[in-house]
Amino acid sequence: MRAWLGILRRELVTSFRSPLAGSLGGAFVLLAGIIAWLDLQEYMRASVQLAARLRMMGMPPQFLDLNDALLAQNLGGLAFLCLVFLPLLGMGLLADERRGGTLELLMTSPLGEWPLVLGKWCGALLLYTFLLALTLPAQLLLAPHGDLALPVVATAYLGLLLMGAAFLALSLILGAFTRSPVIAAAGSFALMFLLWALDGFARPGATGFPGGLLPALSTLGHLAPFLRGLVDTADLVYFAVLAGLGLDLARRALASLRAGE
Amino acid sequence: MIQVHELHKRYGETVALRGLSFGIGRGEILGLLGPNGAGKTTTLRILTGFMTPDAGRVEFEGRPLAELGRDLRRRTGYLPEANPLTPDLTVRGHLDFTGSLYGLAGARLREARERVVERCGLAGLDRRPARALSKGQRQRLGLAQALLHEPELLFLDEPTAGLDPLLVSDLRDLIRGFGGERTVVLSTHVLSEVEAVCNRVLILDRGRAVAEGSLEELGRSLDGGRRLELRARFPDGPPDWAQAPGVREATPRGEAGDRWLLSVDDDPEAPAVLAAWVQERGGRLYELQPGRAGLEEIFLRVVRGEVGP
Repeated sequence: MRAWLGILRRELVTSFRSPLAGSLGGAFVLLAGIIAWLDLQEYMRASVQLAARLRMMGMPPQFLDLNDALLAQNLGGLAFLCLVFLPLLGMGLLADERRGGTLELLMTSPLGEWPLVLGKWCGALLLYTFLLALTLPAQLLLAPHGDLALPVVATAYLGLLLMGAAFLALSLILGAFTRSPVIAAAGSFALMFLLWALDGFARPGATGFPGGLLPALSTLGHLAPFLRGLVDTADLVYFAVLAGLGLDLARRALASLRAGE
Repeated sequence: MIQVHELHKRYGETVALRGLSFGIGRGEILGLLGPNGAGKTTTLRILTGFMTPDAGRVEFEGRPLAELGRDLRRRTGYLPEANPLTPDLTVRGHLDFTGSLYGLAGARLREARERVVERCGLAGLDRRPARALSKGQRQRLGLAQALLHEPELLFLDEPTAGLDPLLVSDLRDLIRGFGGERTVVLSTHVLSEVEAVCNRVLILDRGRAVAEGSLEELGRSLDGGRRLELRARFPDGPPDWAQAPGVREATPRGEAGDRWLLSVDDDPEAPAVLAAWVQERGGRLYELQPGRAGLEEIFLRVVRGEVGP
């Protein structure tokens, strides 16, 4: 327990002091802001056009639905941004330890593989949660301008958090096999993007293996209900299984390193 | 305390260890010597449990290393060759983190931290991040981490590499102070370091142990005889030592021209015979004591294959 907390504390201290993590976090929040602003501009333009058209038809002017036309767009953009940034947040978790030689010290201490993996994962997840929380005002600022569906915002952020938990666990596996954070990031991105877009490979209406299986494994397929305000047990289980699998495989990778395999 | 039997390790095509066997006694400071690529770091990595050998076994107090796992790791301290530190973590952060790995907290951690800060000369550097430390301070921090949990067994890989002479001397004093109290395995290719701090030496070459023993034992094994260090002055200049009874080889020592390291027959009467010969030649004998070959001579002759294991 103490060792796990020690790893978590070190992870947080170094994340918040590291210039790389600072610039990554800054870039994430800035891009999320830009996406929100561009979506707002598009929403305003489309709403003005709609109002003009309605006025020409002699009907009372009306704006587009805030939740359908702006919030959904904004959350979709944020989800894609997360997909791009999660490999960058996870790239150094174990690869940096290998590259810097600190993994040798950790592996020759009494520290088990589970505390190491969990401490690293929780540290990265807390940093991701912090960054995600910084994007929340961009959504909440819309509230005074319409009937913002706050429950949708809440479930969407829950979905993004679960996706982050699963993807950060997956990036730990790749980091255990390489000293290069760049290779870890590229490998993680490829894996995450493949999972994200799996349902795109399935033929419409296909069932059984592989046609029906691909949408069932797709991250986007399981994230989409959260972005629409729906929380389904199957989606919760999907992300929990993905995170558990990632953590266990990362632990096994470290154990095999210790065994010199 | 530790017995190593027939270790083999290979990295792809490169053979790092080929049947390495040796033992380490409790309280010993063992110097692991060898040219680059001899297998020193691989040996340390196997002994610390970071790596497993392809074949062979290591026993700690009669039990296989693999069986002890975490229990053994609790009792060992390790300073790897590169002394890896986390750049953004402070000195105190490093020590607290290491403490958490070894189950130290609260008052025990505080006491342990104060002890190693004092012992390793890190006072006043608590809040300084590792990136802002000098090479010597970094090395001291690495050693402080290895010592924090008071390990019985300490593995040090090139601990004085890149340090200035003053720091080297301080660090050697520190390591020498562990003798008897802890068992230390010191890997280095600095011969003077081994001479200064170790009471036993293991010379590795191409993955094999080519010599093992105390410096006296190794010196004796060079030519099967014994060595005497002699200081004398002769009225007609240095004598022809080839004519001296029992002397096989004479090597001048120092610059005054009155000191020699003599390799003589392994005969208990040799000093008395030699003293008499000096007096017969009209010489004045100032000193006659057991001498030994320098480690450099031992090392070079062993590694060049001039003397067998």
